[in-house]
Amino acid sequence: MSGWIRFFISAAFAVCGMAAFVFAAVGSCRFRHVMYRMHSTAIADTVGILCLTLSAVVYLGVSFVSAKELAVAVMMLFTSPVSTHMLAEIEYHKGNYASGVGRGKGGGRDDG
Amino acid sequence: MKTMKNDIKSKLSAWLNFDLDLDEVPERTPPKPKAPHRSKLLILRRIQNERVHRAVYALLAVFCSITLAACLLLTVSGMPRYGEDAEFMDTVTYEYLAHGMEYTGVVNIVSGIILEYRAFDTLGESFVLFCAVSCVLLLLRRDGASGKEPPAMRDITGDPILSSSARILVPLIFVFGIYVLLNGHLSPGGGFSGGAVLGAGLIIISSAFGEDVSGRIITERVFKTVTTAALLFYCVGKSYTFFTGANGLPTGIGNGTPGDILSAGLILPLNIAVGMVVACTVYGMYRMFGKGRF
Repeated sequence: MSGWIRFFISAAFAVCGMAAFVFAAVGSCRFRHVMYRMHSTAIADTVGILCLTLSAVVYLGVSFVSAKELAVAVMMLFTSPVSTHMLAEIEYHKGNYASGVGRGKGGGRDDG
Repeated sequence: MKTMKNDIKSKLSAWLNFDLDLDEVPERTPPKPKAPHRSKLLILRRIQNERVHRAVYALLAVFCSITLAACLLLTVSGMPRYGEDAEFMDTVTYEYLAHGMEYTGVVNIVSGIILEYRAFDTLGESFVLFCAVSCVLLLLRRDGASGKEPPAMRDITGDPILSSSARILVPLIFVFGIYVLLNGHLSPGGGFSGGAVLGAGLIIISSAFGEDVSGRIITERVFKTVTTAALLFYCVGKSYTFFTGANGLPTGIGNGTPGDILSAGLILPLNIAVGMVVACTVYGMYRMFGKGRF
């Protein structure tokens, strides 16, 4: 019984993680502006990887492998926002932040 | 009519103060068809040449592709069927897997293959890296006298988020890189992956804390010395073992106990040498592309 509960919790985490990756992929394909794209790929880097590693950790139980997986998740949660921040800062200083944002266009489209 | 014409002619001549003779206007001959200009000829010839080149290129490409596909298909057709007893086919694989640990002393048999059985191949790969970084140095290095300043980039040194996270990350990255480098013969990893991790750590130091801090760790002199010494050590060490092994002489380098950190003969030092070359290459390329100097 406890095996099934563990399996279902793990499967729910895995489905959440994969859904996050799908949203990120769709977003990075459909959004036109760089900031929106970064926002959607950051979902994959944070939520997606966290959910998938949690799923593996729940499935494997307490072991050395799950400790390694948690370390990978912590590393990704630590580094991914930093890289996103640096990219966003460069875009901000290039002056790209204004196009399509706050001009009442909506939808995040910037085809120009 | 004639008088009127002469009258007009004389009046015009008087007015223009110029002797005008309308009768002697030469007939306009149609211009001869000129030969096409030389540049046009050259362009035509170039187009023809290009057509020939394209045809030859297409033929050669098709020929090469068919030859390659035929070679691959022949090799595949010579392979044993799935599930067939293929002991006589893959004696080399069997030898590696069954006796690799005994002969080389490594637990991670991949390291044993790339640094013992196939060490010449790995030496070539290291030299490919060395050649690449030499070419980048030749092309992108700025000398003090002749080099122009590169276009101003946004300086991200001292960014609070980057530098404070780098302060936590850099020691972890270096420890992990050294672990991967030193455990190449015991666990997955080795010179190339460990060196890449170390190079990434150097790049983070350089971009987060500025070139003053990274210049304290690695200068051009250090770069040259480390790369050359590592490659020379690799050459000399492998030449020695190949020479003695081919002549059936004892090398004098023991294998130790498989699983110990100090075991597997020359594989640990060779891993370190390859890792140094890779780390220096990664960092050197980053510096050359960014600033053009160390």
